[in-house]
Amino acid sequence: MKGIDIIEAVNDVDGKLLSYEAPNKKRLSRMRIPVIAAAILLGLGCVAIGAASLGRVLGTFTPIKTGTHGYTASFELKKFEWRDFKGAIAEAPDIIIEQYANYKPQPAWSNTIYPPGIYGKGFSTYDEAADYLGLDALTRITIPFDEDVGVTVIGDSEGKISQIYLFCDHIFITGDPSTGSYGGAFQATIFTENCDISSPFAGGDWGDYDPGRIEFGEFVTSKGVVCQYAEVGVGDRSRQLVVGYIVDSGILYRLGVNFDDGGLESAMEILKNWAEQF
Amino acid sequence: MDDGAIVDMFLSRDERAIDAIREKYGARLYTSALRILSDPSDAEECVSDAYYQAWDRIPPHEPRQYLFPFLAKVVKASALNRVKAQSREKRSAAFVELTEELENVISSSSSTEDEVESKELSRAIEAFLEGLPGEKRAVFLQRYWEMLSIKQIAEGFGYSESRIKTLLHRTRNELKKHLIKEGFLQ
Repeated sequence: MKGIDIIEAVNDVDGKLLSYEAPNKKRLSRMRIPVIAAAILLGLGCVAIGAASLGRVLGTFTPIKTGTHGYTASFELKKFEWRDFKGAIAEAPDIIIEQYANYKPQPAWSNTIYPPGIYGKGFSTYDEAADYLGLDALTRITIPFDEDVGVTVIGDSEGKISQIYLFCDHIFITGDPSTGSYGGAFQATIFTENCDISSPFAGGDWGDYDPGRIEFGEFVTSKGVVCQYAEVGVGDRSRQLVVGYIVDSGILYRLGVNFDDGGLESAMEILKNWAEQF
Repeated sequence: MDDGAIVDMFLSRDERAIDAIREKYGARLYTSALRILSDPSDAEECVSDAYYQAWDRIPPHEPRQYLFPFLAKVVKASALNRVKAQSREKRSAAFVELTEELENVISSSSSTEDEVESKELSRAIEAFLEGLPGEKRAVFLQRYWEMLSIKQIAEGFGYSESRIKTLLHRTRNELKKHLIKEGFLQ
């Protein structure tokens, strides 16, 4: 039996039992993830990496179970004001409001269910996507696999935009011919003043089978930027992954590279070349 | 709009019922899903699924007195299925913390079977909850059903966080004893 079994069982009890009398809850202020000193985290049995450097806030990594089952990572991100976005994304509030206004439930059997409050836009390059956002704080970089770039925008029925993701996902690129090809995923996570969620997220979860190992590390670029990374060996499947994280000006940039046995060096080189752009 | 009126709209197959639940409970349902999943788009899909499942399930169900729990159960079941079925899917940090809390209790005992019959376990937990005093039950459900943080629960009750932690610790131990008694743990 696992913890999730009990949570699932609690969720499955009679609905009448779940409508319990609870006190009126006060509305909480936005939760912020504090930068916790490494010593405190170690005291809690967690793993913390590094310390603040060059004005950049580093994240904390916590194995879900020591050495296995993935990890969670927490970063303190800036919540940008909507007026900071000067690109064509200015259309976003109207698009979202219209989505809500015109939303018609699809039949249950429809494959075109797309709820209001979220829309995506595709671009040919990272720069095109960055232009769409028009956010000065967004660093212009070259993604190792600069194709099929997308932006996802999330907002509410009043057109208040809360989260923006710029990504390039699951694209295979050709790496060093001697070590084969790589799969990679990039994402920039941007929160706005309307975002009421905190910023920890799962960095991976290999629930049913254990990764062979998870190691956390960091390296410093020639410009003094610290890139934190998690290196994961997944079970006996000979598949491995290294994911690098950089928080720059309150935006989280993440690059993950999959590689096969023997490909760590090349994957790290891809990560380091990417990090050098910050 | 009153929950009873919304349920009546479902019963009369009025599609505006979907708009009504989205307007009244959409944000809370989305938050519920995000407490399990870290990916906002996954959470959105779970909520969207719940709207259509509500359409399919009302009738025969008529949850006039517990519409939100009814919907939240659907959202969470959908989110939990994603977590279980797609093991690589990301879980929220808060959800990981919750499962670890429970596993700390379970891990000191061994399960009688590797695969626990989920319906039987639900019935056992239902009986356990029915036997709990109101406040304890509310705190337990706020933590493991609503998945609120200790801080949120403490603020809601006007208690200190340490008091809530102590209360939850005791309740988890009582749950463990109950599960041993019912044969789910040894």
